[in-house]
Amino acid sequence: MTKRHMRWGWVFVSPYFIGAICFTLIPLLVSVFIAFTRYDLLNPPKWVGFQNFIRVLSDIQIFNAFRNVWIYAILLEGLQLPLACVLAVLLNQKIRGLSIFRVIYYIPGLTPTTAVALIWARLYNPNGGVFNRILGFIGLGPFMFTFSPNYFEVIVAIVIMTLWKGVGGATIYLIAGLQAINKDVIEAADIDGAGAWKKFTRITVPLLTPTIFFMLITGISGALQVFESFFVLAEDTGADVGVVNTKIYSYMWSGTSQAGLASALGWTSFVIVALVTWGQKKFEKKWVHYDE
Amino acid sequence: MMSNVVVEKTAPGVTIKRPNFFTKRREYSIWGIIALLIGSVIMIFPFVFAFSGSLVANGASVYSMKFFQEWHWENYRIVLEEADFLRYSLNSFVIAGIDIIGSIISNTFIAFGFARYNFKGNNALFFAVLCTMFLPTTVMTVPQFIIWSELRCVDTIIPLTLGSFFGSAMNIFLMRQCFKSLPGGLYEAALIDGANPLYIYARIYMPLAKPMIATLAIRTFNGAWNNLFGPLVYLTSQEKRTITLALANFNNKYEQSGDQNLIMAAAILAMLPTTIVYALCQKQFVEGMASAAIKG
Repeated sequence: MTKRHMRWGWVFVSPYFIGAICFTLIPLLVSVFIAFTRYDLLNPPKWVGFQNFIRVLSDIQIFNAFRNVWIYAILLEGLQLPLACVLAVLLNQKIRGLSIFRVIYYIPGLTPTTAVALIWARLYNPNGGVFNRILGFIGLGPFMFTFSPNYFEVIVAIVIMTLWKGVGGATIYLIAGLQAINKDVIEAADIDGAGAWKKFTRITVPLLTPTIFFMLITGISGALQVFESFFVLAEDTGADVGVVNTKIYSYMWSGTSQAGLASALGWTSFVIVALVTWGQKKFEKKWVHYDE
Repeated sequence: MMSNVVVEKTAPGVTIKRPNFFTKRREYSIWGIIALLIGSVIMIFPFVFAFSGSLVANGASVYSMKFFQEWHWENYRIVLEEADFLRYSLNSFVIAGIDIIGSIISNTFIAFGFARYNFKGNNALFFAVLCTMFLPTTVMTVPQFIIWSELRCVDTIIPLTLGSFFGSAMNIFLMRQCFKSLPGGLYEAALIDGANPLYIYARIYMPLAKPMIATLAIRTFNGAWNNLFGPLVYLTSQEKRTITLALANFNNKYEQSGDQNLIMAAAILAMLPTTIVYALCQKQFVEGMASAAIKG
């Protein structure tokens, strides 16, 4: 086909770039400008220089929000990836009827976080909640979970709920990765007498590292954007359990708008995420195994 | 398998452990099945708890460990009619419906351009599309909200739906993979027969991409239905609320009261559509995601 004809490609992709200019580029520029102003959406924005950024870097509540969201992201990914790897291997066995297990493990991930959080708040309830009763049987607790005044306990409780919701969905990619693994490698290991655990840690996991790396990058940047579970579960507990996005929400949308501060906080958070992603990419070669 | 061969002749003094039910080598492992079963109980338990809690009488405790002692189905009627969840679900369905239409038209159209045409800058532009995936939504929502409020569009569904008509990075990626996997010869053949590119896209490639379009529709539905942040920010009047927004407000209203059963009923209702869609279209959903994962 002629080069001229190939220009049809521009016609097809153009809607995306019209949208990107309206919904991404212009808002980005607006956001950069607003970050250097004081703006309450009613009166015209007033230039304040770096004042918002200084506040972002010095405010203890904002510092705590960053601390909380990082604890959340590291705990979640640190637990979810190993758990999902094991689950993926279990769900990838060749048994008739195994697909019923897949359905059971995927479904929580498709339900609204809001509904899940409301249910888990009842499970976690310190006065008669089911989890404390169960833990009581084996002599543990009682725990306050998301109702705790201790921020760490609240975060751990939210991580556990998110694991329950997300671990099944995380296996989709890993199962696809497993099915791409050459069966000969596994059979060779069988003949050499490798046990299930050895096969898992020495063959399966190393061959899955490209998938795991992809999941780590998207998982961390996704976890750092957490909003709904903290918004629903971590309200009014006494502990300082805001995360970056709930802070942005409260600066921007509850009470008088502080659009400048919200933008400055958003940009600071974005720069940190970008740096971390870049850092992960740097260390990629140290542990990710590519089959080329 | 090799290891299932029972070795009869052994050297004296060597005892061979005959494999028992648990250690016998199979294509699967019994311990694995047991682990999956225990896991399944954990996965199902919160649903059972919520469903049972949604059926207790008003004022009764939802914390009882004896499940399904009462069957007050009227709780669902109260939630749907008196608490207006029927309206909220309809609002969610309207937004999700518009999103699905917009998403199918835009993502297939854009992806077709990236997949079928080797125009100058194709790769660079596609890379730019993928980069937008890393822009955090909340950061973008602050300036978008400012612009929408200048345009007097706050408290309408426009901010929640218009964006879907211009495609999104992940969906373009999925559709591009799909179009690339279809034979390119079809395109040239149709062109020689005098079809124009828009006809080829709409009448030849779209029908072939149906399974992936189903995946796209399901993804879009789930995203729109489950979204809390967008409606929370943009929808201010009560009658426009979506189901997730109504649910979050409902919780705040009844958190300390005896109407826990109604909250559980509302939560179950909010979970139903995505679960049903998944149960019906399981195959499209998982296969679509998995094929994207492999080719990606």
